[in-house]
Amino acid sequence: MKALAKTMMYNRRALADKAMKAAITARLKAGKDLVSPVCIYSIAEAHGVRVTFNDINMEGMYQRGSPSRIHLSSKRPLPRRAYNCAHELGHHLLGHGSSIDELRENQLQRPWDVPEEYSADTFAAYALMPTLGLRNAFAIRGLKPETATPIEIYRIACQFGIGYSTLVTHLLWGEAMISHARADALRKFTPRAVRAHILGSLTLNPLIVADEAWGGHAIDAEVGHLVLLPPGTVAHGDAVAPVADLVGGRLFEAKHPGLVRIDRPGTDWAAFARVARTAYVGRAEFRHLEDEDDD
Amino acid sequence: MDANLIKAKLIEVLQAVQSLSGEDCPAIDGGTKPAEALPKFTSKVWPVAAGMLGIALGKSIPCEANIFVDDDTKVPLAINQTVALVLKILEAQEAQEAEEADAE
Repeated sequence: MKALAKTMMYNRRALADKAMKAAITARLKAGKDLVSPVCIYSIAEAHGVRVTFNDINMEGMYQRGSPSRIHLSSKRPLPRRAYNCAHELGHHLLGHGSSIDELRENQLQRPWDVPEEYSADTFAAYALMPTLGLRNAFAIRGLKPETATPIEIYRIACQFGIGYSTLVTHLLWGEAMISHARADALRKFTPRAVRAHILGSLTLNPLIVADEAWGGHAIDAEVGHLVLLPPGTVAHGDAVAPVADLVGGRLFEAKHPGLVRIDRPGTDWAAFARVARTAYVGRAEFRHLEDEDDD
Repeated sequence: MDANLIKAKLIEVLQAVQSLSGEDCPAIDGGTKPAEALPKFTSKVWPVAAGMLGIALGKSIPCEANIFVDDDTKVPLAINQTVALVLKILEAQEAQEAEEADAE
């Protein structure tokens, strides 16, 4: 049994190493750097894979073909969709066959027990959360992974467009940046509880926090999402609208599909917010187009 | 490609990696072994640094190629050894590209 466990461990290490290198290569071939958060849909498109959001309750589906396609569920939360897209792209680039990923809670087998699923998950983690990017995200905030608070971890998760729990899992297993004890402590806080701490009240609306250390890349949101931006931030358009000034910054709500430039007068902090309609169905690249009748 | 250019770019990349990581970067010369001398310059970062070096040189350095540790002996390589290895990889690439161009 010990020998088998050792072999499994070795195989996992080899699979993880291969998947990590595939993620680095995927970013480079798509013309992306190895530090910044990325829009995974644009990386998939750069690799010739067509990404579509569907009104189906599942995690994701990869269809090998010409062109290859990734189908995602518009019913899943935005960070989950991004992760699922990266996972399905992993299947594509690692040479796996077509596959359907059911909702995680419905899966009979633990995904990591299946080598292809483990590899695709590892690929997704490194594609979305590059090692150097994570190290930098902590460093520029003057944080250490082992002592960062749940709110600080949540901010970094927002920066990379992934979920809080996903980041905790990757910090533990992928990067070995935190201990098991720290991961357990961080997991005691649900994303909902963290949101309540940040906002001072409970909300069911998803919340994106873009702090001063946000690197200037686009903020991806859906209509109804709350976006907490640095104090004094203004939006140059009506896709997002300010709703409150909080201790932690100015709170906006995503109101309409479209693009909007946001900045902080008197500073060089600026970004674009890209708002898609709620549960958008269609090609990923068109998700931020404004409705013609929005006027 | 010129070995001095590769060396200069490699050192710049390593300094950038350490800076982005929030880690110290001791002085680097031809005899420095990054895998030993640079804090937290671990195996997870080696392929990243290789990729960044490729960007800096305008070339593709496959991240499967371990340019910081000898694959057979597992002994960390010094900067000059890494430069020689990178030069070899790039020359092999150029030879292959020339071969493919001839075949067309």
